[in-house]
Amino acid sequence: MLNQRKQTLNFNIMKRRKLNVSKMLALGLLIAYSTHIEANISNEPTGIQQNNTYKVSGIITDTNGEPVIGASIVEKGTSNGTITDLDGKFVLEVSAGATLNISYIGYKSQEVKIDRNGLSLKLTLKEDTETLDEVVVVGYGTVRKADLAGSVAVMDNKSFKDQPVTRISEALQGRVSGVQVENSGVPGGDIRIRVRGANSVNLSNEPLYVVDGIVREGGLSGLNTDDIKSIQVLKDASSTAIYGSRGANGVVLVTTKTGVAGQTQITFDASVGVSNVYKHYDMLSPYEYADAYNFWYPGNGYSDSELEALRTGKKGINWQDEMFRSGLVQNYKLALSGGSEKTQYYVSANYVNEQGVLRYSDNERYSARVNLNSEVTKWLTVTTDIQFTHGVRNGNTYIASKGNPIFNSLNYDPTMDMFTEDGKYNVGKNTTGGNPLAAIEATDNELRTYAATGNLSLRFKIIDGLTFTTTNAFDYQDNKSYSFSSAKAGPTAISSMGNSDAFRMMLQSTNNFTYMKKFGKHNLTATAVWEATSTEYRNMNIGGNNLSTEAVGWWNVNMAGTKTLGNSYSRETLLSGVGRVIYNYNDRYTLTATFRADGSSKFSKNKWGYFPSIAAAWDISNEPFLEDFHAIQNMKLRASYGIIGNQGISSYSTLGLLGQAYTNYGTSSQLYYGYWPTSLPTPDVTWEKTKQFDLGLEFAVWNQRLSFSFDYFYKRTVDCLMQEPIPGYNGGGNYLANVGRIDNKGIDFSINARLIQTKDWQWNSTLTGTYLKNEVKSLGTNEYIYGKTPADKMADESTIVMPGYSIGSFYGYIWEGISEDGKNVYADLNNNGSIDAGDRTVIGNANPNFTFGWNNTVNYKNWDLSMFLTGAFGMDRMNLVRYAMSTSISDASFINTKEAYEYNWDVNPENAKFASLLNGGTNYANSTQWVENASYVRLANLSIGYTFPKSKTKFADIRLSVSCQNLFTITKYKGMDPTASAFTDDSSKSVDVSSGVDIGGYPTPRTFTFGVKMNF
Amino acid sequence: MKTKIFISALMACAVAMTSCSDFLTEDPKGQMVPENYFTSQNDLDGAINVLYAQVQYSINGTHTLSPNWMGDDLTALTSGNKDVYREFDSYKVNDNNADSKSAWNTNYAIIKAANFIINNVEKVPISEEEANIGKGQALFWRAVAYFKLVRWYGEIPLILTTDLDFNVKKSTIAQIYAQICSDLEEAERILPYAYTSSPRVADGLNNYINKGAAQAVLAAVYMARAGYPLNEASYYSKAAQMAKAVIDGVASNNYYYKLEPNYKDRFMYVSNPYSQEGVVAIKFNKDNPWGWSGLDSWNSVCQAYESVTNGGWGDAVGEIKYWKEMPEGPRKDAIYGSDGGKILVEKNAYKDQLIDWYQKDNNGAFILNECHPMFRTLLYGGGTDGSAMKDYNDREYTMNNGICSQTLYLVSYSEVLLWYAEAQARSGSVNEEAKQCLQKVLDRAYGEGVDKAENYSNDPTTFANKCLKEHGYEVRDIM
Repeated sequence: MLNQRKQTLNFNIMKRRKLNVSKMLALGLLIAYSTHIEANISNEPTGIQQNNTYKVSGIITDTNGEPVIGASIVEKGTSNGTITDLDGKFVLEVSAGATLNISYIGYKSQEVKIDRNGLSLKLTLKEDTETLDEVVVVGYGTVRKADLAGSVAVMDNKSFKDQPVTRISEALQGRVSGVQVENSGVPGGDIRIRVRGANSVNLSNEPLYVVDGIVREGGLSGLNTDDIKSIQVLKDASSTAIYGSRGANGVVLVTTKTGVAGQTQITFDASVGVSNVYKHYDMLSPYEYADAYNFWYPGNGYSDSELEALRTGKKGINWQDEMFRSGLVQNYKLALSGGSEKTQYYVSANYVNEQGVLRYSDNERYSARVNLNSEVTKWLTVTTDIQFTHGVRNGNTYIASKGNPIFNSLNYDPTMDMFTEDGKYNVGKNTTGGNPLAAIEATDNELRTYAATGNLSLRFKIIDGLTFTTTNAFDYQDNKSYSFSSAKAGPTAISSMGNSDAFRMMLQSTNNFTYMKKFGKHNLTATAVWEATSTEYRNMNIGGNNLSTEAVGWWNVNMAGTKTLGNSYSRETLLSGVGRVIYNYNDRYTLTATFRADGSSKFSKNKWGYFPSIAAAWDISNEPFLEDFHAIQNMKLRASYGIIGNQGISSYSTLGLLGQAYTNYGTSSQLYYGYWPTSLPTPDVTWEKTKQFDLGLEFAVWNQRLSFSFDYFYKRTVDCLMQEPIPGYNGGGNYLANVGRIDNKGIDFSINARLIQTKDWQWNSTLTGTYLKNEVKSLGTNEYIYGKTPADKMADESTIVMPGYSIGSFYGYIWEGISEDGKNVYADLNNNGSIDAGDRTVIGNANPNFTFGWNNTVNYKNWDLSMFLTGAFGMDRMNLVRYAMSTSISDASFINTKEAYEYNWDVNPENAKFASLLNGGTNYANSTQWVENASYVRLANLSIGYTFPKSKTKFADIRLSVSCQNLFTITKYKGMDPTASAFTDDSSKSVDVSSGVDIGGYPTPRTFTFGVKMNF
Repeated sequence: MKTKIFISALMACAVAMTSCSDFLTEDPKGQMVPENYFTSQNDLDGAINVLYAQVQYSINGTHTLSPNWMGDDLTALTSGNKDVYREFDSYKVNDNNADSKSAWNTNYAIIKAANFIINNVEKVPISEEEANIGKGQALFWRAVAYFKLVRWYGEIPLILTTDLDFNVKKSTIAQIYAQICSDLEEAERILPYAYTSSPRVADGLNNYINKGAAQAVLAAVYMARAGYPLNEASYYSKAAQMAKAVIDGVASNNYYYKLEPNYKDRFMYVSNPYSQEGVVAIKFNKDNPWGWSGLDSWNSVCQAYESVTNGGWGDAVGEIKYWKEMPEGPRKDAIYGSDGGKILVEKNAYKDQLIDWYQKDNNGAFILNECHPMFRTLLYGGGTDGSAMKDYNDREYTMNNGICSQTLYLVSYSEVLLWYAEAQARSGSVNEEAKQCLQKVLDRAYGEGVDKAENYSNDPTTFANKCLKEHGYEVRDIM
C-alpha cells in the first residue's frame, strides 16, 4: 500500500465533478494570479529564444484523483510560470532543459526536469502531512521531521483558523498535548500557559516565547491570529536545552506567515460576537433578603414600610444585573501577500474590540505587520519583519482579593439605596467591602500598550550546505497606565489619580552558522550560534489624592492635594553560545546532541551555566525487516535527556541592595525616606536546573490516516531558587538560595485522524491529552511555604507548598458536617480536643491531573463544521464567593443566596448544609466545605460555515460562519465558572503557588460569533 | 571572497560588541549598595526615618498588639477570625498564631533598624552632638522593643548586629534586662532635653525621643526589674529617681509634659490631636496618598474595639469584670463612652438610640449580639470623615474607611506620676510628692477631691497598690 501511494504518476481518468470548497478558493487565486503572471512575462527580457523553448502541458491531481486547481507551476530560477485551471491542467513554455517546480499549499512540492518538447505530464501532489520530509521548526533552525529526536508538538493554523479565536494563547488550550492554559477571562487579561507543569515555587513558570527566532518578553499578546502559520511547543530536554537558562518551562515557537512566490492573496475577515454570562448564582431577591434578615434578627431588621418598598420593587438592587451585561466582540483582519520567486511580501492588519460581560471592562487592539523576504544575490537573502501593536484596556484587574468587585457584588446588600443623599455611592450593611458598582463605574483604569518588534535577518550561503545567518532584532514595549477614582465612589472616599509609564526594550543579536549535508546515507546538520541579549526597563509614575477638581481626571497631577512620585531602572543581559549536531543514518537512526553556555548578568559569581542534552530516535518502519509489514507506518521511538535552566530572578537580586522605607512622622504631606538592610548579598546563587527524561513513541495506522504520538516525561527540578526565610529575630524577610526539588512526571499524547476522506466529505479529528503529576520533594529549610493570602483575615493561609504534595494545594480543615446545635464540626486531626491550626491539612488541588482537547473539522461540499471539546479532571476550586454568600462572617455578615437560606440550620435543621448564623462556632473559609470539585468538560467551540464560491458572488470567495464558544459546560462546580479563578498578584512567588481560589473570578462567557471571510 | 570578507567583518563586529566583560556586570542605577551608605548626615537621618517607620508598623494596628489582649481590660469574641486575639486572651497561644508572628517580627524589625544605626553611626562624618541624637534614637527604640518582647515572650534571642545568625541561642531574661538598661541609660545620658526643628519636633510634640522619654521608660523598666520575674526590689528606688527626674524636668521647664485637665482630652484625636500628656507619642495620619500603608492608624472603629453587630470589626471588646469594677467618673465615661457606658446604636431598628450594652429587645435577644462593654478610647479619631467624633458625646455614628489620624501614646505623663508614686512607696516611704502625684490622677479621674491619696498613705504597700490599681484604670497606652 505504502509503495503504491508513493507512485508519482497517476493514470486515473479525470471525471467532471462539481467544484468543492477548495476548488472555489483556488479559483479566486487563479484569476488573480494569471494577471500577475502575464504582467511578469511581458516584462521578461527577450532571453528565451523560440527555438530554445519546450512546450509542456500537464494535469495535476491529488491522491484522490481530484484535480488540483491553482497549483503553481514555475520554471525554476525564473519568474516564468502559470497555475492550473479548473480541471487541474496547465500549459507552459519553458527553456530547454529547465526544471519545473510544482507546488500548492498543503501539498509537497515536486520538481520535474523538462528534457523534451511537447511533454505531457500527469502528476499527483501528495498532502504535506504524509511526507517524512516535512520540516519542523525547532530552536535556531528547522529539522526534517525524520530527523527529529526530541518532543515537539506542532499546532498548525488549520486547527483554529475557522474558529473565532481572538488571542493565540487561548488556542493552545487543549489543542497541544502537554500544554495547560488557564485564562483569567478578563478581556485582554492574563493567560497562564504551562508546559508539562510548574517547575518552580518562586520563579515564573511561564514558557519562553520565541516568534520567528526572536524572544518576545511580552508573550504572545498582540499577535494577529491570522498571521500565524504554526506554533511549535518544545517540551523535552533535547529541544529546550538549546534555550539553556531560559528553556526550563518549555518553549513556544511561533512561525508567522510569509508571502509565497506566485500566490497573490487578499483576505478580509470580519466577525462580531455577542457574549453573556452563562450561569448566575440563584440569589435572594431584595425582599427575600430583608425577610430573611428579619427572621434571624427580629426587631433589629427592616421595618414594615421598608419591606413593602422592597416587595413592590420600589427599592432594591439586583447586583448581578448591575455588574454584568451582554459583551460584544468584534474582530477585523486584512491580509495581503504575494511575490515573485526572488521577493515575497506579507502585509496584514488586525483590529479587535472586546467589550467584556462585566460592565466597563473593555479591550481594544490594533496591530499591523509587514514581512519582506528577498533573495538579493545568489548568496544573500534578506528578511525583515516589522510588527506594531497598540492596545487599550479598560477596567479593574479583578485579582484575587477582598477588593474584587465581582466578589463584593455577590455579597452586597440588595436592599440598600445605590446612592447616599449627597450623591455618593453608598456602602451596604453586613459587608465591609466598598460599593462594587462604584469600583467599576466611579473608577477608571486604563492601560495603553504600544509595542513594536522588528528584525533584520541576513542569510549568507557560504559554501554548499553552509549558511551564516545574522538576525538582529528589537522588542519594544511601552505601557502607559492611567487610573482615576472619584470621591463619589464611597461615603468617605477621596479622589485619586495615577499615571505610570513602563518602558521595555530588548535587543537581540543572533548569529547562526548552519551546515547541512548529505553524504550517501549519512545526513548531518550542525549548528553553531553566538547570541547576545540585553533588556532594559525604565519606569516612571506619578499619583495623587484629593484632587481639587475632579474634572481634570488623571490628566493634571498638580490638582492633587498630595502626590507620589517614582521612577526606576533595571537592565539584564545574557550572552550565549549554542551548538547542535543532528546526525541521521539512512533515515533510521538519529542522534541529536545540543549544548548551550549562558552567561547571565543576574548572578554575581556563577554567571556562566552549561546546558547539555542528548537524544536518539529510531525509525523502526524504515528498517529492512519491516519492509513488507504495512499495518503500521512511520513508527518511531525517541528518547532524550538533558539539563535546562531557569534564571528568572530579578536583576540585582543577588547584590544585597539596601531596601528603602519611609515614614511620615504623622504629617499628611511629606514622606521621609531612608535605607536599611532588607536583603542579603547572595553571590553564590546560580541557576535553577531542570533535568528531564523523555521517552516517545509515534506510529500511524490505516494508511497514515490515524497517527499516534505518546510521550512519557520525568522532569526533576533541583537547586530551586527559593526564598529562604531570614529568622524573624534577624528582622525577617528572605534570601535567595539554591535549594529544594520539584518533580513533574506524566504522559502526553495526541491522536490525529483523517476519519473520512471522500470527495464530498472530510472529517479530521485530533485528540490531545495530558496526564500530569506534580510533587514537591524538598523545600530546603522551609517545612512548608504558604501561598498568598487570598483575603486577609477572611481566608488566610489557604494554599500551601509542602513536600509530598503538588504545587497549588489547598490547605485547611476537614469539615465533617453540622452538629446538633447547628455548629460546624471539623476533624480534630491532632486529637488535642480542640480545633486549632494544628488540625489543618491539604484539602484539595487547584491543578488538574488530566486535561484533554478534542478538535474536529468536518467538511461537506461547501459546508464546514468545527467542534472543539475540552476538559480537565482532578481539579478543585476553593469557592470563597459561595463561602461568603452562605455564611455570617465579619466581611459579609449575612447570607445572599437562596441555597444559603433554604439549607441553613436555623431554617432547615434536618437537611442543613450551612451552620447556624446565631449559635456561634467557627466557620473556616479554608475547609473542605468550600473546596469543590471543578472538573469539567466544555464544548469550547462549535462553528458552522458555508462558502459561496467566487463563481457565484463574482468578486470573492465568501465564507459565512456562525460559532458558539462555550456552548455548554458539564461540571459539579457550584460557582459561576470552573475555569474562572481570579489570579493572584504576587511578585514574591510564582502564581501557581496561590492559584485556584475563586474570589470573584471573571467568568468565561458564552459567545455567539457571526463571521464573514472574503478571499479575493 | 567578497562574501567571506563581509561575513568575517560582520562576525567580528558581533563578537566585539558582545564579548566585553562589562556586558554581564550589573549596575543597579538608582538603588543603594551597602558600601555607599552612612556617608553623611542625610544618610543617618534616613536610617532614623526607617527606624520610625518600623516603630509605626509595630503599633499602628491590632495585629501587632495582640499580646495586649493578655491584659484584664480586653477580651475577644468567640466567632470567626478572632482566634488570634482569643488565644492571647486565654493565654493559649498557638504556634501558628499570625499575630504573635506579627508582634515578634515588627519588634525585631525595630531592633534591626536600630542595630543598623548603632553599628554604623561612628562612620558618619558629623558632630558628636548629632551622632548622639542619632544613636540615642536607636538605643531607645531597641530597648523599648526588647522591653515589649521580654515581657511577652520571656527568654528571647538578643540580637545586637544586622548580621545573620542562624544558630543564636536565647538569652536569659536577666541578660535582656541588662541590655535594655544599658541602652536606655546611655540614651538618657546622650540625648538632649528638647529639639527645635522639624521633623524632630512638630505640632508641639516631639517626634524624636528626648532625654525625658528615655528617663520615663527607664523608670518603667526599673519597676519591671523590681517585680516579677527578676524581683530585684532595689530597683524601686532607681525607678522613683528616674520618674522624679521627669517630674523635675517638667518643673524646671526642660520638658513640656502636662496632665490634661480633662481625662477625655487625651483621646480627642480631632480637637486635641497632639496631647502634651504624651511622653512617648507616635503620630499617624490618614490624609495621605499612601493609605493603609501603616503610616495611618488602624486602631479605629472598623479595625478594632467595636461590636460587629454595631458596624465594627469586633477585634476586641471590653472585659465585663473590669467594666464592673472601674469606679464611675469622668474617666470611665471617656473610656466606655458617654452616659454611663451606654452605647450609641448605629444600625437597624435601634439606630441612634443609646442603650446599655446588655440591653435586650422585645423578643428577649441582646440588641448587640456580643453583649460586652465597648471601649471608645481609640474610636474618637474615627467618624464619617475622620473628624466627626469630636467628643465622646458626639452622636454621629462612626462609619469610616478603617484608617484614621491618631496620635498613639506609648507613655503618658499620668503614668509617670503613678510610677513615681508607686515606686517611691515600694522603696520605703510615702512622701508628700508621691501623694501629690497620686492626687492629681485621682482628681481628674473622679472629680476634685472625690478620692483622697491621703487616705491610703499610712501604709506604703496600701498606697503602692492603690497606685497600681489606678494605673490599670488610667492607662490606655500601648507600650
